[in-house]
Amino acid sequence: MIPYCTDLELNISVQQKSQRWQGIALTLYCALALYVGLVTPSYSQSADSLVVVVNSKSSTGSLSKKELIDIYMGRFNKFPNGESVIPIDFSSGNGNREAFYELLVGKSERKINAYWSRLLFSGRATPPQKVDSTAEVASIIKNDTHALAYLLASDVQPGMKIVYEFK
Amino acid sequence: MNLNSTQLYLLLVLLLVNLGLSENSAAQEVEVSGFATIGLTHSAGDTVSFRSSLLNKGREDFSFAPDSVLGLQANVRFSENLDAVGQIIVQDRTDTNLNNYVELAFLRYQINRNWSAKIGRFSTNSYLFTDYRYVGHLLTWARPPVEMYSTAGSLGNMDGLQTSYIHDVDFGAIKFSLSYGESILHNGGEAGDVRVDYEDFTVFNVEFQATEWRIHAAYLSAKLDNFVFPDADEFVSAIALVPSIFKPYAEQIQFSIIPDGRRVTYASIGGQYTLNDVEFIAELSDYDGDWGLASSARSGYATASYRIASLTPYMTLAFYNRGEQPEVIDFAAAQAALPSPVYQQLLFLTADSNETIRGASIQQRSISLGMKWDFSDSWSFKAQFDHYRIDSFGSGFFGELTALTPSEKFTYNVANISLTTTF
Repeated sequence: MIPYCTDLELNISVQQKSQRWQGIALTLYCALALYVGLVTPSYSQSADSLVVVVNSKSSTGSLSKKELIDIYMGRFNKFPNGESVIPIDFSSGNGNREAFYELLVGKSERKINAYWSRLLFSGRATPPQKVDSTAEVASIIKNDTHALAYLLASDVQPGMKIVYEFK
Repeated sequence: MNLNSTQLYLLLVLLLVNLGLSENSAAQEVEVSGFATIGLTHSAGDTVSFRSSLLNKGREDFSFAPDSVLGLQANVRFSENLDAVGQIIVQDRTDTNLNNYVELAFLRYQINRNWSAKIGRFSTNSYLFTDYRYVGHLLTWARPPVEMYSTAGSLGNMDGLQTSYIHDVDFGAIKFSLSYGESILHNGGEAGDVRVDYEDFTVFNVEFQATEWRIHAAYLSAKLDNFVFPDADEFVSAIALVPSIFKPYAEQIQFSIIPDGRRVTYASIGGQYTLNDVEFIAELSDYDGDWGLASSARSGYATASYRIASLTPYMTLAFYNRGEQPEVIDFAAAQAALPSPVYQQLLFLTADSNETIRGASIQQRSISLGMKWDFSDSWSFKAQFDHYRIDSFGSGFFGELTALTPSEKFTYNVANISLTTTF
């Protein structure tokens, strides 16, 4: 929602200095709110939700948010049913990636990158496989029953199965 | 050609990289990565020199050596359940034995969703940040508090077997690890080789992992053996030749200097909590050992930081308290038992060994203030100032610039600026 404000008429007479400062302050607030509204990505404005998908032949039918967190935060490298999982992640700077981790764990990309660097250099785990496009995601998901990926609901194709949807 | 364990691990690391890069490799996936810190450190003082680890050289005045690090790592995946990791660290080591540069070299097998096993060289995870203490970009500080992490280099990794179990819980996960093996400390200098084996080395770790916080506890136990130091043979011979009146004290000296066959234990607990832009970290360690050159102690620190945009100011308070007085024998008891002229002779005979004990003893507190600037996703700039208060005969963390260990309390300041990255 972009904040709504009305135009103001400013009385600049000497006797009305306090009203003048109030007016300037309100104008600055409206301008700032307008700027914030324009530059801040608003996931809720989009009608296309993020979903998590696997190959349609995968033995995994659904995942809870906790199970997703466990996989994408490197705690487990297998599905709850014991099958190996290959999590797919978009490269840094991708809008879907930023939204995904914000919805998943409430963390910025910077914090997620630092978290995975910690796991990498401590020898505990390696980061998810990186892709640059939805087409790459689709190709991997359709050809590997172990793959797990996230994308916009509108990008789901035949051969994929949704196991989690962010509301 | 006979290869020691360190050379074998180094070969394994190089083999992993070669396998991963080879076209006909059995590896499915290979990743080569690294990290680096270039730090300019200034230490002010004419009695001690600064070092960030007991394994490193002491440096004074301006120097790039104390806080500069280069790390290279290879991750190779052979199958969905088998992978390998190799990591080499290049730092300003006093002893250039290869053992001091190979940090990780292990094979890991994922038995099932919860169980995994490692063989090779891996981190002991003795403290919260032991397993990535060299990766400056991932740390808020210029270096982890020396009161805890200066000694981590000695037992930061081990060679052997490890099994881990990770359990799913509502808040995240709990991971248990049990390790068994050995480690070798190489810390010689110009005077000669210094080496001690940590045998029958057992480590137990438990870590609670959640999105906003992490709690870690560890227990380490090892038997010391094969202690080698400069002029060791002459020392043992001299001990054997003392007059009978000094025999009990000679035995005390030998017991204090040579730890062979005795056990040391470490217990630690630490936590890290992040709430939006605020982070708190605290750790406590208890070390129990009756070796005069590394006597019992308790250490710890607490850090608070607050992130403002790309800047993170922070403050750390730390301490290291020794559990034993730095003396090679119980001089008070000796003075009470011996005639004065004999006691004076005893003081003369024990002077060198007593000075060695004093030089290794640690008793200090510190306050550190710093700022980290994350000016890009993979680069950071840091500035840190450390103020150390060192007690009488308590400067064991630092290099010595004088013939005798400082006997008076003194303060010591260190300033650092550094550029750090991962790649």
